Amino acid sequence: MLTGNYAAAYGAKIARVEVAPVYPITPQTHIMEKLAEFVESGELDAEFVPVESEHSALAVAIASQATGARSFTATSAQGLVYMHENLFVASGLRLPIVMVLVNRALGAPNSIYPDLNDSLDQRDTGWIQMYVENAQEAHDMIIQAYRIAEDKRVLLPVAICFEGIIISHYMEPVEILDQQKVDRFLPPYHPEHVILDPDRPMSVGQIVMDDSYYTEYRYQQQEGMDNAKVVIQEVDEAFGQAFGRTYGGLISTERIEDAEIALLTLGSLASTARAVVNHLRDEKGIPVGLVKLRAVRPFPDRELRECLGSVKAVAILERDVSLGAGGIIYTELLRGLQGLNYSPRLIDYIIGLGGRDVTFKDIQDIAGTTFEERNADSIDNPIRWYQVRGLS
Amino acid sequence: MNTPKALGPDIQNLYTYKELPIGATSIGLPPGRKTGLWRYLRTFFEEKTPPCQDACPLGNWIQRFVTRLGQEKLEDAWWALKLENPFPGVCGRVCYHPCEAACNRKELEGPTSVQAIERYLADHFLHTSCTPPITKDKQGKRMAVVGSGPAGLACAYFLAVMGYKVSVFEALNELGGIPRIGIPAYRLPRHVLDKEIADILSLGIEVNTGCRVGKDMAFSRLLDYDAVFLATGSHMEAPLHIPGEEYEGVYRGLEFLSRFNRKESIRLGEKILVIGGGNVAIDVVRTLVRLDRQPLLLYRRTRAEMPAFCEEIDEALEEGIEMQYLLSPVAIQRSGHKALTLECAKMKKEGLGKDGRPLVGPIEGEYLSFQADQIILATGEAPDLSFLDQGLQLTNGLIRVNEWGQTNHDKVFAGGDVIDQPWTVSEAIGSAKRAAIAIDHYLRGENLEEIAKTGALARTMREHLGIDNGLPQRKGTLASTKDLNLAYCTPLARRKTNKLSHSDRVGNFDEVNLGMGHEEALKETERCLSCGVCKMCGNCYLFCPDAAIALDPNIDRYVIDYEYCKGCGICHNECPVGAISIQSEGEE
Repeated sequence: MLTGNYAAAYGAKIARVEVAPVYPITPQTHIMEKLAEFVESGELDAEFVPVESEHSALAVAIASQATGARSFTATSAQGLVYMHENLFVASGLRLPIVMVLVNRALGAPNSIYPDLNDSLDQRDTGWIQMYVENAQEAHDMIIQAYRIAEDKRVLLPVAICFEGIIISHYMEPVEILDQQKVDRFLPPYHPEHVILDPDRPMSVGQIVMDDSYYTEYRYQQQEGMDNAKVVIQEVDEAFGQAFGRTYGGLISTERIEDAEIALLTLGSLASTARAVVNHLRDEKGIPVGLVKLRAVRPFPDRELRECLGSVKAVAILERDVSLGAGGIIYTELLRGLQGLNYSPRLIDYIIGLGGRDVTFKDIQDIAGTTFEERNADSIDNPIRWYQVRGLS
Repeated sequence: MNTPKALGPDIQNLYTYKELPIGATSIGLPPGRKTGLWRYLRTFFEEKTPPCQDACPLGNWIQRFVTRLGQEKLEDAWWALKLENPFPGVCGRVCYHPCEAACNRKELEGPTSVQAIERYLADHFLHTSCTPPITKDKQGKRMAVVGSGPAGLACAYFLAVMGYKVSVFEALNELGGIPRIGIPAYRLPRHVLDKEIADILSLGIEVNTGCRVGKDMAFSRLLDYDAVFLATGSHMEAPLHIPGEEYEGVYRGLEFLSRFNRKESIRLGEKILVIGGGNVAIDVVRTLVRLDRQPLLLYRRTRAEMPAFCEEIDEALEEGIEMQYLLSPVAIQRSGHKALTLECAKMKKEGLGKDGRPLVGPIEGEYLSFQADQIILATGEAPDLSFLDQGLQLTNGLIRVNEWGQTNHDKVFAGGDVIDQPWTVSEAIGSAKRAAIAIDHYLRGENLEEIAKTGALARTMREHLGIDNGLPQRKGTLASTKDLNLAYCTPLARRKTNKLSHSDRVGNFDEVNLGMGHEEALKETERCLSCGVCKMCGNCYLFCPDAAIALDPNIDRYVIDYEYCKGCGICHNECPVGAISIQSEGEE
């Protein structure tokens, strides 16, 4: 039995990370503490760097990764937004750092409970972002993440995101992967592109003037993101062969093939939604399916089009909002589904902000409403703040 | 994989995105990378003078020997010390350590115990014979030194190190001057003095003891030498001009110490009066305590005005010596067979004199009498300069010299207690060093006035011999606490030196101050703030955001690469010792 945080710390350990600069912040702190214990006890041969801020944590990770050392860090909420400028540096320098983001609602008002706005706000920083729904997936995905990030077709940093408290603090049965198998699956990091070595001086991230190379470097990153779609899929399959478990790559689905309506969500809500789908199918005969979004960057446009092309309505359940626009995943999906001959009705549910509990009944009610609306000519009020007290 | 290549706006043929290396790397250096172009402030290494070294009459290399000891480089520490001072064992015991009074650490938990560290080094090398290498051969130039006290022997030492042949003339039968005949053994064990003199003599110095110039040898014969250094000291004890001072049983302070230290027998009764408030008076009473006597010390002013070193007075009081103040002797009477009576006028304070010291005057008609078996008058000494010849000029009974110790006779120099300066061992050695350096210039036929005018006349041997491999120094700039970054200073209490217990001090002349052990001395070195002098901590290297500061292994120094230094000033702020200055670019 492990908490999500310990599962993540064990993931970093068996990935044999070499440098771990981390700054404490609830609800991530256990990861840092466990790593410190591993290093102190000698179980993990790594430099544990206590830093004075998250900004420095990522700065150290950037520097250490640039020397060719596999680097790891973790943070949450305010710590992540404090890192913001360095996120661009890490991706722009093509450094395959892996970071665990334990989602926590941003202040103000202050909260230590989860929603996804902290990580989703960083979606334009050039990091691959993947969302997991439980401790085991968090553990497994750290191993996958290094292999994805270090793939020479990708060379981008990866963030593994899971909700604080709900995943970070609750204990679940977790299988810690076998170290020997992990070592075969994830060979040591030997970069060829960026390596700071006093014997072979190289300048990294130097200025490029207005008309020289900025655009070309950005396009290279876009190409890395495009390649990541393929690599994420390949790595998940390879992981299945090595460890007997797969997660579906960019997305995973549940009973979507013949569904009339779909629930689309990410993170821990997927577990509850899956139970709702099975219940409605098996007990009520409602043709509902589930799409669990695993990668937000790169955004799986094609995969979503393939599985949503024939459903009539999609309810998006998301713990985030882009104020003044709508749910972030909803707006992403509007773009992603462009070009389908037949476009499903999209209904956005902004739900569970700041860690408010989302129950089986909540999701069942939403599915019921969606089923009723599946043939409507037009959707009235497609962006719905769920259960706001005082809002009718 | 595209490998790094030289990239920059100067490149004519632009690469496609496929040809570019991954991650914006470059093996070349586009001009924009040379962050030195951004600089409008310039930081640079510039050492300042530590206040301890400035305050030391010898200009000792204190920061160096303390730091080297802290690094457990004992030999290096020893040479840095011995180069500037042939008497570290003596000064480590009897110096009044103005270095500590000036130490910047006094503003924190108290000054660094420089004297105890100096003594620790001297004691550590007590059984190692060592002389510095003789730096250069001076082709047979010969020097005469008159007097073998700290000034005379130090001058002989410095000149011998510089390659001169030196002959020392000493009136007494033993070398050492006041430390030999005056300072008691409980303050300065004689084996320490013997060892340091032996080190000096091993440089090949010719010694003539029992040779009093003016009596055993004509003064004019000194002028056969290429240069002369006069350091005959201050041994003449002037009369008090009171009735009865010629009686048997009345001694002079230095005379008493000298006879005792030379093991001449002195018959002592029970009641002994000691008159005076200087170091000699204190040495006399503390000597008497060790002979199981309880002397009474009488002084014409008060405790605060006593010229003796404060620590010495404290130790005397600790040893139970009674002192009475504001009593001035007016007459000595003989009462009975050998008993003496000292009559004293009671004194009172009468405002301040020109020198800031309180003036005292007698209270009319008020006297106090003391019975005594012996009376020891320790009321001051003066040089006996009756041997001088050749028209040497005096001022107030002292030899007149310029700032580098030269008399009105070009080839004659003087130092120590025959010139106008505080009469201490360290001032004596300091004057000898100044003179030795001046004599070196003089014997090379150089114009001392010119050298002094350009500021090139060195105050220390390391400067004079050019063996200070330090950073450029801004002359005359003292490092104050404002120059230091005290955030790097770990609070650490001053170590206490060990002392003999009071009860163990009677009936013997065992050394009172026991100094510090190895661990204590090492710990004490950590308290040195290295004011203004780079101690190679590497902070500048660690903090420089442009990696523009690096250690140059050829000179073992940190250097700034101005192609990349963008003048942010972080090194200036983070230097714990204040050895990095900052100014506007282009400013002189």
